[in-house]
Amino acid sequence: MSGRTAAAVAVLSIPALLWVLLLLVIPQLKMLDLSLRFMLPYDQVGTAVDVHTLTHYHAFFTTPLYWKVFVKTLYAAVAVTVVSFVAAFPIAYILAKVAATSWRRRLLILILIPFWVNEIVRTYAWLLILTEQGVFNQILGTLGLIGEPVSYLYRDGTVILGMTYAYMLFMIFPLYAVLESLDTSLIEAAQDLGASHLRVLRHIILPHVVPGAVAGGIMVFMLSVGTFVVPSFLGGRGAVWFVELIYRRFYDALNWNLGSAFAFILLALSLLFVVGLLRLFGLSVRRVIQSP
Amino acid sequence: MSDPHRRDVDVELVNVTKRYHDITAVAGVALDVGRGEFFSILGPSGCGKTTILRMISGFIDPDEGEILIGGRPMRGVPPNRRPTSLIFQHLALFPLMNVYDNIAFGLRMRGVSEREIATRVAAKLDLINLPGYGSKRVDELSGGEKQRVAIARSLIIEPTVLLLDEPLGALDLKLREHMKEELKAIQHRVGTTFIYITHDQGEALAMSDRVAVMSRGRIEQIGTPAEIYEQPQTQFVAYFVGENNAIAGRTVAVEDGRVVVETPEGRLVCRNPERLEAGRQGLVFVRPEKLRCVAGNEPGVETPGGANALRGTLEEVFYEGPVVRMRVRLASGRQMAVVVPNVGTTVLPAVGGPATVTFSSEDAYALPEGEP
Repeated sequence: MSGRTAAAVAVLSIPALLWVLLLLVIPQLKMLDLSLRFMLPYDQVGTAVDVHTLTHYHAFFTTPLYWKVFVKTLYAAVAVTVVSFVAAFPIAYILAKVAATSWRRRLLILILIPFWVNEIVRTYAWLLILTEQGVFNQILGTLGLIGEPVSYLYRDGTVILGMTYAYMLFMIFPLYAVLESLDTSLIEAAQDLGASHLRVLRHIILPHVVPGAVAGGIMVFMLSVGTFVVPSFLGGRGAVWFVELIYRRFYDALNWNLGSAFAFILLALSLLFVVGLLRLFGLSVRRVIQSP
Repeated sequence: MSDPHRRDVDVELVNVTKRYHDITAVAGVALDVGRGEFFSILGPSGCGKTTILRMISGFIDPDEGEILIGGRPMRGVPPNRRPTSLIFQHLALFPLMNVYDNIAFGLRMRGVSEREIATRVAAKLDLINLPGYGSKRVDELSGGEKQRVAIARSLIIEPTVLLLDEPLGALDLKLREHMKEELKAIQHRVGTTFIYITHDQGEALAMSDRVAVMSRGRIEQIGTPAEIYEQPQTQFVAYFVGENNAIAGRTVAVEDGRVVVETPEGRLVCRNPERLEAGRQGLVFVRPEKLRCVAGNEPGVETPGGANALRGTLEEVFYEGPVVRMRVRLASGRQMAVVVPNVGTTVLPAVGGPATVTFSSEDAYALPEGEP
């Protein structure tokens, strides 16, 4: 019986394994190889001059523009992750612990509906809200709070706002799941033993929420560090994002080798972030995947 | 009933009412719990006992009436400022903390120094007979150990009153019996007032100084376990606490604390605690263990120790070890439950044979018939 089950599992996982192998592992290995070679004219590829080199990685660390953009991207992605947690936590808490059961599903649908719309369209919506003739300025103008319309676009804060909006859902759901699994009587027990609301939050709720927050944090960080749409729409010309840098190496400069090197540096950063976050909270990948 | 002037009152409920939409969960409940008393509130699920407990601990506020703890009115005082501590049905030990941190929690919230906490936690671990358990994780504990840790965690903040919400419900039978004794012993040692909520009459009777029986948001009767069991004042209490045989009839004569009830089984004489007058519909209650059963059902058969005799046939015998349970079908078709101790000397009538059930007028009582 168990032998047959094992065989069935093996057969059923073939498509998934093929998917990972053909679309992930092989292209990545090819890119890794590219990143370790010189950019050569087409007719010299594969000849004796096509040798391995670290020159592209060296270029990254010695060119201030490159690593400054990289650091800025890293900073923004961390900021988006933190802001997402701060914004998503009350929403998830209300959903899981405050809202009546009959309202919970309706609220969840309300949160989901905007995400049925494509990310590009949603980002354009922010454009309409935040331009000088946008909704936000109109409201402020009507209320007489500002005399001249202000442009909110092309600022770092706006990019972080847009990305938080785009990826907050990936924080809300793990937090919601983990909060729903929190026994309400634990909160009451803490209150009963003399804890104020703030202390209940600190000693009971936040420790319980850590695995969900880490799971959500990993997703939001990965998505925001690798995004292209939001910064290029809301950030304008001035704000170069690291992914944009990679994009330009591939499509504008046609330097696939340098582009690949940048891509791997970004991948290394993401992995470091995940490992660091897990270490920080003393969690295993298994625990986070199973978080609720 | 206790006299509030005779002993100090720790918890006082004055006509407390709580409604949810159009349902009245608690209707005008009034009770006093004395200092150091083990007080139980007994009732079926949905009778409002948990609502009362949550009102005393401060998680909900009564719509009407007042709750006083140690003489202080509690309206508007949040749970973390009340001198109460609640032991939850599923204990609610903090799973991410070890035993020490669980017990220390209440003291930390009060800003007690870590050095004093260490001494007091150690003392509490001794009290619950779990010395050296401080570093254990909560999920390493057995059911009974968790129970005791929950008690220590609540007692360490030295509450005026400890509230217990059916904490033994999740335990298996053997452990429950053991924890009953343990709880009682702990209460004896610390002298704190306990208010214990349960639907299990065995727990309520065995542990309590006094019991309040509740039904549909109202208190039916308050008394010592013996009073509740031997002298129920309402039909509900008679049916709910313990097992009872009930025979309906009409009262025909009242004399000297006794009442004669004309029933389909014949005339029965019993106590008259509610002072029924002649000519009323009433129910005669008699507990299975107060009955005796002898072979034969002819009018001449001897009826030991009983003014009342009911004739029928012995239908079934259930051997239960310490007791033998019997079912006797009376001539009218009514069944009577009879329980006799398994002392070995009792000669039982043959199954299917004629039998007579007898009881004294002292062991039975009549109550007015009404909504059960």
